[in-house]
This record gives sequence, C-alpha cells and structure tokens, in this order.
Amino acid sequence: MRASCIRVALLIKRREEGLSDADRLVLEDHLASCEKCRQDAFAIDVLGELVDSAASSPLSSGARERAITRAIRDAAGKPLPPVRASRPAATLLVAVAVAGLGVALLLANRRPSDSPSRQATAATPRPEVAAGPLSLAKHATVSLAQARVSADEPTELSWDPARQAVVLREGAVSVSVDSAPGRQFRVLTPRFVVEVVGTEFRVDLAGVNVTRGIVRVLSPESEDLITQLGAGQSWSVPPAATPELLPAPARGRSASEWLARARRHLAAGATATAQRDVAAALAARPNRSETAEARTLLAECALVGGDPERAAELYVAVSQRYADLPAGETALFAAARIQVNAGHRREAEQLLRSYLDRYPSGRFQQEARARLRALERRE
Amino acid sequence: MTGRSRAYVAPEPDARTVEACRRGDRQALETVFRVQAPALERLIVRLVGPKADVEDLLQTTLMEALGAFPRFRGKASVRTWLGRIAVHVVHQHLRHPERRRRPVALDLVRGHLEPADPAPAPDRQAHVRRQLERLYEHLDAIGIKKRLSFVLFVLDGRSIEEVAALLGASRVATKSRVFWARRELLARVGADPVLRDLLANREDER
Repeated sequence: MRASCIRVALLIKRREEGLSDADRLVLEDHLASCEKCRQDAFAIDVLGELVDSAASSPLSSGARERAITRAIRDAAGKPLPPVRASRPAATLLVAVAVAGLGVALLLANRRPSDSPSRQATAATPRPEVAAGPLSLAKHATVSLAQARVSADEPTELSWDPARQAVVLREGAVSVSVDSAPGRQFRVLTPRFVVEVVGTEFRVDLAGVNVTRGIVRVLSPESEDLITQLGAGQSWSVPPAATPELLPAPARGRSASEWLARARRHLAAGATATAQRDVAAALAARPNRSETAEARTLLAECALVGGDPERAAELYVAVSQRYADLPAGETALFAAARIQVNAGHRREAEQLLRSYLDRYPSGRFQQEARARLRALERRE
Repeated sequence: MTGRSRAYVAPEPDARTVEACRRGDRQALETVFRVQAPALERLIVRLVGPKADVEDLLQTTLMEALGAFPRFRGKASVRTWLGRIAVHVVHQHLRHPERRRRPVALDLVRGHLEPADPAPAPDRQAHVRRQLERLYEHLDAIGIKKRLSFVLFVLDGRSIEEVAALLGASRVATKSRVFWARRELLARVGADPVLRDLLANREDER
C-alpha cells in the first residue's frame, strides 16, 4: 500500500541523515507516483540549496577571528551586571556577564557558599545567587537562573534552584524571565503560585500583573490552574481566601483604600460592588494617578460584566486622557486586545498602531507587534 | 532529489583539550572555537539567514559556551553541545521582532556567490539577495518554533528527537511543527513571484 502524503511529508528532507533504509524506500516509492509530493520535495531541495549556498562561507576569516578573539577577551575581562537593554547588543551584554562570571569564578577558585541570610542592596545586581533566603532592598536586582528579579519594595524571599522557584515571603517583585526550552520558572506565595516560561510580570502577596507573555496562576496546594493571564492582564487573590492578607478597610477610607477594595470585589466577580467602590474612590479626592486607576477599573468592571464594547470605549477614554501615565498605556493595549479578541480587525489594527506610535518601546510593544503581524497575515 | 551531500563535520577535541577548556585555558578555548566556528556559522546562517548580525550571534554563542564550559560533562560531543548553545542564542535573538527584519548583508550574499561565480554581475547579486530576503521573510512569518523546527529538521538534517531536545519540545509537537511549517512555507513560496520564478527556472534546468 502506498504511504500517505502526510506520512511522507516528514521524510522529505534536504539531507538524508536520520532516515532509515525503510524510510528511504517508502519515500522513493511515494515520490515515484505522487506528483504533488515530488514538487514539494523539489521545492525543498531548491530552497535548501539557496540556504546552503549562503551558509557555505558566511563570514570572512577576519570576521570569524574577530568574533573568537572578542568572545575570549571580553569573557576574561571584568564581569558586567546582567542588564537588559533594548538595543540588539542586549544578548551580548548578558552573555558577557555570564561568561565573565564563569571565568572570574574559575580564577577565584570559587568562594565558599553564601551565608544563610544575605543582603542585596539597590543598584547592585548580582549575577547569580545560591539557594537560600535573601533580603532585597528596594530596587535591588538579582539573577536567578533564567530570571531577573527586581524588588519593588523591601522584599524577603528565598530561592530554590532545584525547583526553579522563588518563594516570596514579603514585599513585591518584578520578574523578567527569559524563555529557556523545557524550563519553567515559578514564584510561590502562600496563596497562589505563578508559573511562567518566558515573560515579564510583577507579583506581590495579593496578586500578579503581566507585562509580556503568558502567566499561569495555580493553586498552591493542588496546583490546579486558577487562571491564565496575558500581557496587560492582572489577577488578585479573592478576598474570601485571604482575610489575613487583605483586611477590610476602616471607615473614612482614602481613595487608594476604596480602589483596593474595588479591586478585591472585581477579582471576586462582584462588579456592582466594585463599581460602587470606584464611585466612592472618585468622591474621595483622588490624585490624577488614582483617578486613572479608578476609570480603568470601571472598564474592567464592564469587561468582567460581559460588555466588552463598553469596556473598550472606557479603556480608550482612559488612554486618551491619561496617555502620559502607565494606566493610559495599559488601557490602550487593553482596548486593542478586546478588539482583536472580538475579531474587529480594522479597529484592532488602528489601536495597535496607535499604541506602537505612542509607545514605541512600551511595555506591550512586543505583544502589539506580534498581534499586528498576526492580523496582517490573516489579511 | 539533489544536493544530498553530508556536511563537513569538524573534528572533536581530545579529552585533554576539553579538560583545559573547562579550566578556562585560553589557548585551548581558541583552538576548539577555531575548529568549530565554521560549522556554528553555517548553522546560525541557516537559522537566521545571511544577515549582518551573524558575527554577533557567533560571538554570543562562543561567550555563552565559554561561561558554560566548566559545566560541560562530555555527555554529548562538543560540536553538538555548541550547536545547542547556538540554537538557544538564535532562539533568543528571534524572539525580538525588531532584530528579525534586517536586510540580508550584501557581502554575505557576494560570499556565497563567489565559489560558483567568481565575478557575479551586480544584478545577479541583487537577485539572489532578493530571493534570500523573500525566503527568510516567509520563515519569519511562520512562527519561531515552527521555523526553527523546520530548518533544523528539514534543512540541517537533524533527527526529530534531536530537534525536540534542542527546542525543549515533545517529539509529537516537533513533528507537528515541522509538518505545518513545511506546509505554510511552501504555500507562501508558491504565492511569491520571486521564489516561484526561482523554482520554475530550476525546473527548466532539470
């Protein structure tokens, strides 16, 4: 019986390494009688030749020598902190830091392991940290496996390299995780677990905000999926689950307390109560940033309440009025996201382009570009 | 099918050289890198295209390797191990879209024409550059994981198991990615006048 085209598709390769004699026979037999697969195989060969010929001598010997010399020279120099830069040399800088650290450690015959209680101070990013507890001052940054962890406030955590997990005990951290094939990174809190592959997010004991990529929030005991969040989305621990973490605010609340209350109610799905809280926040003389957050929460209420069109309108209004604030940036991307999900291609493109024009190096620019490309591909 | 020759395989360093590399011996590292660099360049160019940043990617790969050598246990060959690092570096590179749309470097195109055509006409260079640009634009469009799976399996001749291990994916997911990448790429190539002409011309030459 002749093999199917689907089976044969995986046998058509530019090179024959990895194909058994039996596979070769199947392939040749199929190609002898299938014009379509023969054409495909021919196209693969021609494209492969094009790629191969370009790859036959890609760099001059001078360029190659330069790359080797620089790699060894830079790695032998002073280690650099693993700072993420937006320009293409970012990978280079991180690599220099990693390679430099390796050489420095070798030359120093390795220091004894770190003491159980260690302090990292602001503006002193540490290239690597061993397992154990760690106190971070505000703005301190540490590199933990494939992640860079920055403290947004004084933070207590511990690092478990075997589980690739940060256990957050107190404070809040912003985490940037580089995608590493097959390796997940986790932040554990008493009430929830954040699991990621490659992404950027902020987490405190009450919830998580995602800037880039996708984050999974799991139950700490059963590791059941609670929710999955994309860029621009956030999640908070439901109030019923965290009485000790989120105490009820006292009477005579400030705008920020009303907003915190609104977020908790929204997270629990109580949109009507959340809207009342937001109204109270707006009546409690909020500052501009709090007003922007209040209006964003109204948009989120509409979204959670099943009215994405109204939510998009409210997000756009926030983005126009508070374009200079982070809330304005988030709102514009959130509006675009709603239009993408609703299949409103033209509106989505318009909003994504507005976002990229306004925030060319914004927090969601990668996501925005990717979504725009996906929309263009569908055209 | 044509062009089914095996690629040149760089010789493996002996155990003493590897041990010296683990200790950070500069001379040993230079020796190993000089032998392995051409194969790494070819791999990088296949994955990203003949772009101006190939040199940067090679350098990054070597620096990553230098930092990781103390942890190299010799379970895989040095060539395979360096290839894995190069794939990881390229993967990271491709994740940043602003780095992917760089034009094909003219000197690299000229370089690949030289063996077959010592004095390629400028319009011929431009034409090949256009073909390569179009091909890598289509590869850009099919998604990073599908693209890497396809190039490593179909064009670089690696096994499904090896590609799956390199990209941290299951065997089934890798097969699926290769299948869909191939289908998407060929559909795009068929609709692209520049590449369609290339195929038609080569068909006529057969």
